[in-house]
Amino acid sequence: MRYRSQGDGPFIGAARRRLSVSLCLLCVFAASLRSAEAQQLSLPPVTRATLDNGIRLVLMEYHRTPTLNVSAVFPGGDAGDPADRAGVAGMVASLIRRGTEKRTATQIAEDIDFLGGSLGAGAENDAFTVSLSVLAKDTDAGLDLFADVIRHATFPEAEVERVRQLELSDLEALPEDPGSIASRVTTETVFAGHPYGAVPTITSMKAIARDDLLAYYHRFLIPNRMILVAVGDFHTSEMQAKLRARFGDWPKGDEAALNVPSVAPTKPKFVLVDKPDATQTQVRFAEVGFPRSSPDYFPARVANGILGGGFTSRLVDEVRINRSLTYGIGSGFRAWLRGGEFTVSTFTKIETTRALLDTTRAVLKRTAEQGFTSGEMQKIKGYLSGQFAIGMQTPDALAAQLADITFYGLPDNYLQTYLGRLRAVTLADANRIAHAYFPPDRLSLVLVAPAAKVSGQLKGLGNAETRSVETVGK
Amino acid sequence: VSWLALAGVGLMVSASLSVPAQQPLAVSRLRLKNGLTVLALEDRSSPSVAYYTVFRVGSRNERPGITGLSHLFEHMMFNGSAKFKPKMLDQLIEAGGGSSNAFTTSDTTEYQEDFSPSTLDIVLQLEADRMRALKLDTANIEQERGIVKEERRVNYDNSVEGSMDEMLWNSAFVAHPYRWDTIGFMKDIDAIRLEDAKAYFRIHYAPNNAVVAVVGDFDTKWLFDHMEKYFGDIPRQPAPRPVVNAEPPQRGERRIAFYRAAELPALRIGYHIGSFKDPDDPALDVLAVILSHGESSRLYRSLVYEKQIATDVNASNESRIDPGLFTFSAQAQQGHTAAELEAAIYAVLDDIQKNGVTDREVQKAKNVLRFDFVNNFQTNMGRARLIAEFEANWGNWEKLYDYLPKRDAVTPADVQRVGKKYFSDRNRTVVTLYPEKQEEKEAAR
Repeated sequence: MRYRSQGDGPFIGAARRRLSVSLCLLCVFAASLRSAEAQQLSLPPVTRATLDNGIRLVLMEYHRTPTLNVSAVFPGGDAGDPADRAGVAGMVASLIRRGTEKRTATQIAEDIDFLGGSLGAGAENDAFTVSLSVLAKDTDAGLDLFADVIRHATFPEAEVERVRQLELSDLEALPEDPGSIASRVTTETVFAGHPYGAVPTITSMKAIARDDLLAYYHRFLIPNRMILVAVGDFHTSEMQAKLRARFGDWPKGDEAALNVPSVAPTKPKFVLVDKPDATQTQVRFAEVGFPRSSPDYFPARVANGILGGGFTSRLVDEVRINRSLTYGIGSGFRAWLRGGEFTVSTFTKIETTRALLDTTRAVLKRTAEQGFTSGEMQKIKGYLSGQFAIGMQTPDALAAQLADITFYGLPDNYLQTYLGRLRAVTLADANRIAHAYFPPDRLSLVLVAPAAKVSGQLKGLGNAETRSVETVGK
Repeated sequence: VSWLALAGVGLMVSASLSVPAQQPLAVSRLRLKNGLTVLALEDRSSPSVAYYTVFRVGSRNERPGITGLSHLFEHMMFNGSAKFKPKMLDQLIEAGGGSSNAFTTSDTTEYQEDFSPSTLDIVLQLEADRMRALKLDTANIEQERGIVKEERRVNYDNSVEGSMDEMLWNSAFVAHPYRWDTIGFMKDIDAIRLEDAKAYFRIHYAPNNAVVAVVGDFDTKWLFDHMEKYFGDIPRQPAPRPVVNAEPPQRGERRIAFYRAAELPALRIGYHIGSFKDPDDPALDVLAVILSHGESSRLYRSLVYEKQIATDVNASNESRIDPGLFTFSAQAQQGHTAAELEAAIYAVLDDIQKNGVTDREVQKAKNVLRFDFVNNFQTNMGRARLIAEFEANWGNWEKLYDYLPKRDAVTPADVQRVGKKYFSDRNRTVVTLYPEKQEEKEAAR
């Protein structure tokens, strides 16, 4: 493979040196920029409706392939886990398709597999999502299963223990994978003390009782909290009727508020996870970012794109292409309800760990202090505009965007105004983001490496809190 | 932060593509005099274009001493050509709203670009220039050598999964180049010379060894005129030397003990099978789904659900241009051994050999293969890849219309027959991971 993208999707920066091509090529180049920026994306219309029990329906017809994607999104997510029971939401996600009042785990597996499609659930920081993907001809059978697991999950004791054992084994195996360790320890470090930083451990997974799962399920999976998104090869009125038939009689639940505090910035830390057998150092720089509702969202997409998004970004150009220090480097902002993060991810062989750290820090420092050029701004907007159009080809991507719009309270015309919002970002906006988030001294640093072999290169970086890889996930 | 319960979606490899029978594709084909094949499929529903190139070259075209050259070469294709300086390809494509990527397999090297329609003309110029006159010099090769070595470290040397997969193929083959992974051995990556790369480029990146597919928002006549204009005078080259399949029949089980730092035992098993053109290939696809697709599959039910000895188990029909392997992988739950995993997998295979599979299981497999296939058609890139790969591998993209019917014709008796034919202990290679715990390694030093 040529590269793997990291961070918040493939954004691009642009050349910092003059393009040395013939005049004719430059014409084409400029023309393509104008066209990408001028483009208006025409998407199928969206129908929104609210059922009597509070379910918010969002429907979009998609006729490119004979398929159906449906997602149910509920607020709560991992942040709804009890304080000492990290992993409850994830367990509920695993167990929701392992038994209902009418179907055993085996029957559910058999039924969805027979359709050839997928039925799954997952939790992230704030949201709990159940998703169905089937061929359009299997709409009724698929929706029956989807509604059954959402409304009538039973969490059989034997299934709870099965899933617990799987989760425990996965946590036991965690020290095998340097990249996963680095990302996990980064989350723990940046969000220390906040629910976003409470990741499941062997201790927390052992403490979870079936009652915790039932409590979570009944508290968060209720119709008056549900966003129901369908994108597929259907007629809107018929799909609306099918969804109403399966969810319309679901009685409202008690909508107790979940008070997740805003994320507070943390002091930068330096953590070294000792993995004695590694021949490579995994590196993460990270800090607290901003919530999804922040006006910084679009400026940050632009600034991050130039810094470490696509293949011509400053970080990829300097660290990978000019110096061959790594196979992959990227940066990204992620934003949730109560806060977000900014991360730079990369890796290099042990011998060049310090060179990688110094080069990355130098790019961050220069970008924070000097900002961007108007040429870079123009190019990044062309790139992000084109990527948006390309990304909106799949029903998965469309459904995810539509769910986000309702979940985060974005304007209904968000997709239609997306390109305009990108264009509206000014050089001053992007420079402000760079100044605020990119100074390297603000960032926590997490390394996964053999401590004995790498420590000689870490002088002057401050005292690392060193922990054994065997402590991760315990 | 996890998608714990999402059922796996099929990997998109050439062996698992299928076709929506209800929609014939309006693909046009152009064959230039130099042998380059161009496929065009207009679709104006998204303001974007996918440009896809398959070169019929991969690690099977290598020899000991230059393993990894195909993949190293894939990287070098982005570093400039006669008219375009290094970095320009990405700068032009990304500024035009696009992105580029590439990957190498044992059989092919594939390049993918996705961009706004107005970038198409410059993309054609870039692509023609690098096919005609790629820049190959010492600085270029040294730059990518360092990057590829990092890729090897991250995906193989420091990955339990990657290192086990590599060891299985290293051990199952004696003579055929499938013995080595596309990444190549570290010392070969170090040893590859500029003249190796130059010779390789001339023959394997010739127009007569490539298929281009373009899908999306453009005019076919305009495209074909410009393909002729930019690519028409790139000289044809002699056909690549045929790959000799000197692999002798396996005459007994090969067992590999694999020691490395890890937490839990794991297992790989491989059985030699035929090529993807073998008449047994559709039945093996169906069998792979029955064995390990979803939680209702035979292996998941036995190893993960009932016996609770594995966290994960997978069966895969890895058929290729030359005879490949049908592989199994399994990861132990804590407190269980690789020997338990191995015995449980054999019990499932024995049962299929003795008692066959049900009609319903076979129908389920066909439904899964159809679903995976239809999803390939969502994006311009998915369609481009499909038609380009079928054209490159079968000589005619329309062969993709045979993909589903061939699988729909598979019977339970076919599945039982291929199970008996290939799953014998003499045809088997087994790699067992013996984890060395990190603290034990420390103590041993």
